[in-house]
Amino acid sequence: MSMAASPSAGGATTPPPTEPEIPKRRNAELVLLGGALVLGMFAYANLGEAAAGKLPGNFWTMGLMFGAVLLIAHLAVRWLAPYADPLLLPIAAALNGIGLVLISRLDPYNIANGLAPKSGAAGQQAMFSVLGVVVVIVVLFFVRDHKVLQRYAYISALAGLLLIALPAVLPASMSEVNGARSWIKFAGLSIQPAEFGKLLMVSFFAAYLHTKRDTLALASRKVLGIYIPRGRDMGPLIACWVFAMLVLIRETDLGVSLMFFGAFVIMLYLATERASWLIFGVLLFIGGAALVAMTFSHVQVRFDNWLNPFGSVNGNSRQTAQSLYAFANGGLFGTGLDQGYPYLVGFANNADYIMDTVGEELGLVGLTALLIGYALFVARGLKTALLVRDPYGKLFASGLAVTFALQVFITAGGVMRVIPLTGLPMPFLAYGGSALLANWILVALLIRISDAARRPLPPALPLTAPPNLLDPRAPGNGNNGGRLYGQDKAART
Amino acid sequence: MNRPIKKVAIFCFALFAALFLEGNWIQVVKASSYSAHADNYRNTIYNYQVDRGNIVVGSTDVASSKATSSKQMKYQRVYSNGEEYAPVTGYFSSNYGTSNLEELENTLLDGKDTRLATQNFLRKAEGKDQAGGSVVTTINAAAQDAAYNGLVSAIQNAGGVGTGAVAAINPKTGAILALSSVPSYDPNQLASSSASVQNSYATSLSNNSLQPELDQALNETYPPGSTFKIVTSATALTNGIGGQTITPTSTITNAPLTTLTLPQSTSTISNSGGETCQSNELEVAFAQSCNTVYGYVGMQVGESALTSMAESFGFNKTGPTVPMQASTSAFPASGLSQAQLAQSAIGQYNVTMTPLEGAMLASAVANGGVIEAPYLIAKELDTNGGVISSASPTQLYDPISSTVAGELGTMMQDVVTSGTATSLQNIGVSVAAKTGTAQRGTGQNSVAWMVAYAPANNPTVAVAVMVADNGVQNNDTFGNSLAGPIAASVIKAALGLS
Repeated sequence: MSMAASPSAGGATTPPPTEPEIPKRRNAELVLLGGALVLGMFAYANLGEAAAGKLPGNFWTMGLMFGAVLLIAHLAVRWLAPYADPLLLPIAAALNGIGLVLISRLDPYNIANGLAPKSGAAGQQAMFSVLGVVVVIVVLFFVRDHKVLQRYAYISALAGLLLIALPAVLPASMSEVNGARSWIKFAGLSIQPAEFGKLLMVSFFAAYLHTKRDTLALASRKVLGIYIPRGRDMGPLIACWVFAMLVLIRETDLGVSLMFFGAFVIMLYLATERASWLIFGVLLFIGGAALVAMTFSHVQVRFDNWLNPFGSVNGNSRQTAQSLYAFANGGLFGTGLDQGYPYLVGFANNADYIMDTVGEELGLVGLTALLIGYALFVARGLKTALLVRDPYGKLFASGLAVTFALQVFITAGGVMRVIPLTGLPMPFLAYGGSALLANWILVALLIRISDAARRPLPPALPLTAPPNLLDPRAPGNGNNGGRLYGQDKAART
Repeated sequence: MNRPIKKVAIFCFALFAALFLEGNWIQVVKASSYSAHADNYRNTIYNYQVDRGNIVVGSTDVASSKATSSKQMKYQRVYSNGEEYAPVTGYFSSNYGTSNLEELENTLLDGKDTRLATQNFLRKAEGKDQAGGSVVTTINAAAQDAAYNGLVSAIQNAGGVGTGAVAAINPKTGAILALSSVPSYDPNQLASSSASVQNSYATSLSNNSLQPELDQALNETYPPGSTFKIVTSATALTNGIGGQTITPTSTITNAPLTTLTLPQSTSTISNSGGETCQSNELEVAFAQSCNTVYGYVGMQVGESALTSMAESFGFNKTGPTVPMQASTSAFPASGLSQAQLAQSAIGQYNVTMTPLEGAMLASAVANGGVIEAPYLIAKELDTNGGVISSASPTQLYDPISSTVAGELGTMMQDVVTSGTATSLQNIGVSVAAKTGTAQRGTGQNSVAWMVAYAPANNPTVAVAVMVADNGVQNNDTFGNSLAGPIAASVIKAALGLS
């Protein structure tokens, strides 16, 4: 199946035919990172001017540090993944920077009302941002080839399931924050394990589907023009569905289950190219969610708030209503940073509801710009999936991109009342160290895959190559085998 | 696998497109409707971020905005002599909205008025808060003080149970000089930055059966009693009786002096205290406030003439907007029996009138038969104090000729010099007046009225005082004894006499 380029195939004896030069685009990345720096610092200066009439006290220190961190990240990519997509890192950096400004904008209110640490949430988040870039470098350094991760598929699955399910089995005192049991709290730290779990699960999905795709795709009966998969092939789908529902019920977390289940179904479709899986997946989720909504009051309340946000403006639907008021007040151009009242939404104003601040203070214009940023990030992830040559990489990259897109949609859509609110942190913007680290790992993984995708092919083997290179049994050739020129296309299904 | 990846890319694009469309929906299409929701606290915040303009009496601000240290509630509304001026200013409350001038002049006061757009644009460019223009009222501070203090002490003397109101206007222009209602309320409490203070005060107001927040001068009607004899006299002087011209000195033939027997009715009309009238000469009967003569005159002039005269004074018409909308004073609908007509002619039965209408009766007589439209706003000022509009008097009603007005004026002076309004004698100016003591239902004391204007030869103040007092003995609730002294002090204050 897998006919990816093997690094060992590089040593040809005769001069190879000239390959077209593939630009590395590192300088473009550097310029864009400069743009991200300027954008973030401009917002920070604007915030200081609006709030106190002067630049924030630590403006130049922060600018210097932010710039230094971005430069180091850039140099690391230049060294470890020179062919990486040039947009991934700058977009993540810009989103992270904007997030920091928004969090520090909300800090005065949150500190005064006990919704943030006494020293403010922005400082912590800045620390985790630096840590995030460190993690990117670590991942890039140790994972030199994304296909290595394929070997750890079942360990990933186990670890992922454990992380996702852990809050559900912990006592509520250690896992519950505002009604949702999706946290692990110990020693003063709060971790949302699902954020790391999502990466592990996507990695597992990619590996599993990569090995099972033929069985899933071909062994099905056609009924009324739709391919009905066999019962035994439905197994993993059903298992995943049951698992998503269990998480939902136990952790009162519709968002996580929607994200996992959605990502799994879409990856199943990508692997098998059978639309019937999508239909099954959607039907199963809707059926299950409806059942759960009718049985469990907290899910029902979310639905009610969605359908009727102004039904109980001082009770259950208060935050939904307040969220809409924030967006309405922002209008087309927004009030300007520190000129609106997005904190009126109360709890989680700098996490799940951080889009309120974008909508109110940056307006529809700022919201659109932000959405374009997220969409570009997803687009680059999917572009990476298109370009990368191995099916596992394709599944992994598209799985990561789709998970990211789903998280943005589920979170922003919930806050903006496209769908019922389910409570996920907004990627890169929201306050929360674990989520931020997890998203930076996601960036690192996409950078790694995109580097592989854009890296030029090793020179084609001349037909007169030494026989040992064509012999699969020869040492070092393993299952991957030597790349045979012209067979690459045929190897893809 | 690339084909499904492209389809998934389209799906992801659709997700973002949905967010974008929803953004347009909630931030543009539905924005103003969401923003207007009553529970949207931003509205309150924005109200308190404006340097709201002042409401001015003379050179004093009775309502003004004071800068606070709070970032959200930047300005606090402050009322000086809040209870005295509440019928004028109204209140500006975060939980209970606005009323009176605070409500009706809101766009000027909070700076949204288009005439202030340039100034506020410049202020915004300078980084200043939005500011409002100011409203200069026509109120005469001394007259307002006299009215309010007089009413408060009159009610206090009666044990605190009762209501009272004063309306004073300049008959030549219609400018309102005093507008007072007792019991009143403190608008500072309703404008408090503390919601709990607002709530508990509002609860205490709504539990008070005397309705302190109701402006008795504009928005409550009472039977006018004998003050309505001004209208009955005007009808007789204008139309005559039975084809005969009537002058103040005409004798009303066949008018009884002790008891008026009402046709097709068992009830009778007698005079106050069962007294016998001195004469059935019109001006004597007017000065003595003879019910028997005036009930008879009412039946003689007839229902249609009396009704149309009352309506030409403003009865049965929507009350004037000053800019607060005054309530309608009422003269009973057509089809009255003779008994009802006689009762109506002396301001009983179903005749009701606001204190403002009482002042308008006096000002018609004082101003040669013409009632100028009453108004409360003298000038509107921009944020820098420049005048952006000034009131110009307009004629509201023209009920009687100047001849009849002159005749009525003489009759009303006689009420003071030789009639029932003894409390207005020797106050340093010649006054023309009419007393009223209107009976209400059983268990309620009479309503005491005094309608007057001064100086008699060149009137600049017309006043109506109403006291509906349930605390004193019934025989003390006469217009002259209860309302008269308040009218005297309002007149003196308005004219600058000590």
